[in-house]
Amino acid sequence: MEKERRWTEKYRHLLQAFYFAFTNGYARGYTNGMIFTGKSKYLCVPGLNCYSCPGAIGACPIGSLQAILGSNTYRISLYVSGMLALFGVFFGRLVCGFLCPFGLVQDLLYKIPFPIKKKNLPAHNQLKYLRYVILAVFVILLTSLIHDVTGTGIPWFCEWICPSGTLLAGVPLMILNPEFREAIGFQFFWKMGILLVIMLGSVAYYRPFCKYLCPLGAIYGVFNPVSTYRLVIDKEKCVNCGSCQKACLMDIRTNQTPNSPDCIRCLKCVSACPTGAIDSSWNIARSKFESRLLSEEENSPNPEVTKTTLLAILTIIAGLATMVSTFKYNLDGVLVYHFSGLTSGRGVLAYMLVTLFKGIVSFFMIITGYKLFINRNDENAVHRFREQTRMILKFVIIIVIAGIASLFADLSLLSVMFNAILICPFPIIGLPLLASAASSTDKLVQGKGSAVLWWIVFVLLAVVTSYIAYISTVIILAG
Amino acid sequence: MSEKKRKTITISLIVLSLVMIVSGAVRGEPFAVFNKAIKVCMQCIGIG
Repeated sequence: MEKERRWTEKYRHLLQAFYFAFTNGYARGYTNGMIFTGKSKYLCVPGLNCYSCPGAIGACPIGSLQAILGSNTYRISLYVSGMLALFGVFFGRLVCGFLCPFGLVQDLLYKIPFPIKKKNLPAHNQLKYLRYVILAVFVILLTSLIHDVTGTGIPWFCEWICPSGTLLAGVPLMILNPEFREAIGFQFFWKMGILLVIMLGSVAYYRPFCKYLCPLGAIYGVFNPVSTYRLVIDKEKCVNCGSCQKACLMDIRTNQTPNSPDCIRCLKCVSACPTGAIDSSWNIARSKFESRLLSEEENSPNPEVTKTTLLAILTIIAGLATMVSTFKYNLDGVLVYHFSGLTSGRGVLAYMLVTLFKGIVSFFMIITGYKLFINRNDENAVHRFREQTRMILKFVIIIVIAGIASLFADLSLLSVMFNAILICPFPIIGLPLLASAASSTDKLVQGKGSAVLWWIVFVLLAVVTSYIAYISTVIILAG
Repeated sequence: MSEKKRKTITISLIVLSLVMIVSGAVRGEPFAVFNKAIKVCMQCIGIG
């Protein structure tokens, strides 16, 4: 575990860089001086990442919040606030430590050798509340209350403060786009001044923007004590040596306030603790889960029965999902096509064949699943199941062949055939995997390969459940 | 804060945030976010 802790701290900057590259990965923007316009911008990224950065593939949460607050249609933002709360309740300020691009910039600047290296600015204890003032005044109040002639609020924080926007969007766009360069005025120099002060300050002081100015950090900090990711102190191990506070560049007495709103979860304290008294809630939960799994393995009377039951339930669910999708959509579709004469005769025939085979496959899946369930205590049940799934697989192969053959018959049926095959992915993808899982019966509890197979089975269970939920929703909505 | 109380708060917040996201989506807020995000924000780059 000690090794793991050190690993996390050591590679934090690599994770930050990787995430930065991922969320700002629209390479074309850096060549043509324009921004990404894809649908991923419906979603906010967790960190302070300007949506006008040429590479940004998501929306900035603070920018989006101001856009809604200042909009003359909404005034109150449920969507963005909900997303901020969700990020906050899952990660808290772990976002600041691991996922914020401007945090990475400040981290790197602090690594530059400089004669004066200090953690905090003078009057740190008063200044740290400034970020709440900025959130309340610049992000919420001014944007909500002051409107221009069109009734739209101005994003005050973005306009007058945000150094992340200046660095990630302003500077690259000014370099790449001559039209923007022509429009430079006082406001740009003001923002550049703020950026320079913060960047120069970051060389001497650790993350001054995060400590004193960031409204996003202020929001996430509120969630630190209740987020799923928390730091936990083992009071029996803690010897009150103060190593955690010495290591903490945010200057937090971690052993007393492990979930302070100021903590950005850089995990330096975890590495610095000589007795290993500080751990994260995620790590503890994982350890508990692993030990529970081990004890269950030891106490379980027969893990094979549990495994067989799970396989049976999965197969029945998959069969039901396939049947519902087949008879709700495909047969309906065939009748509509048939009576409206939208496709050629051969097309309808191929479509009907696929539907018929899918119906048979789903029927066999339910039957084999049911038989496996009632014979779950029988040692040979899983092996018989494997034989039966082979039979089902033959049907699936016929479906695929029919699909390919129909393409030769009529190329215009491409979309119809793809739809018909893709709408029931589980028998095509899931059953061979289930059969493989079943075939490694003796290795399912131990062994690397079997563990991977089990993970696949669990993921497929999630897929099928979502699939059924989706179908049920569509059916309910369709009345 | 007791562990039980903290868990209750965490779960309530997750549910509340999901309800807020869905309610916001029903009101059409994602379109407003999208429309803002796909245009260069003049205020953000300093030429507002």
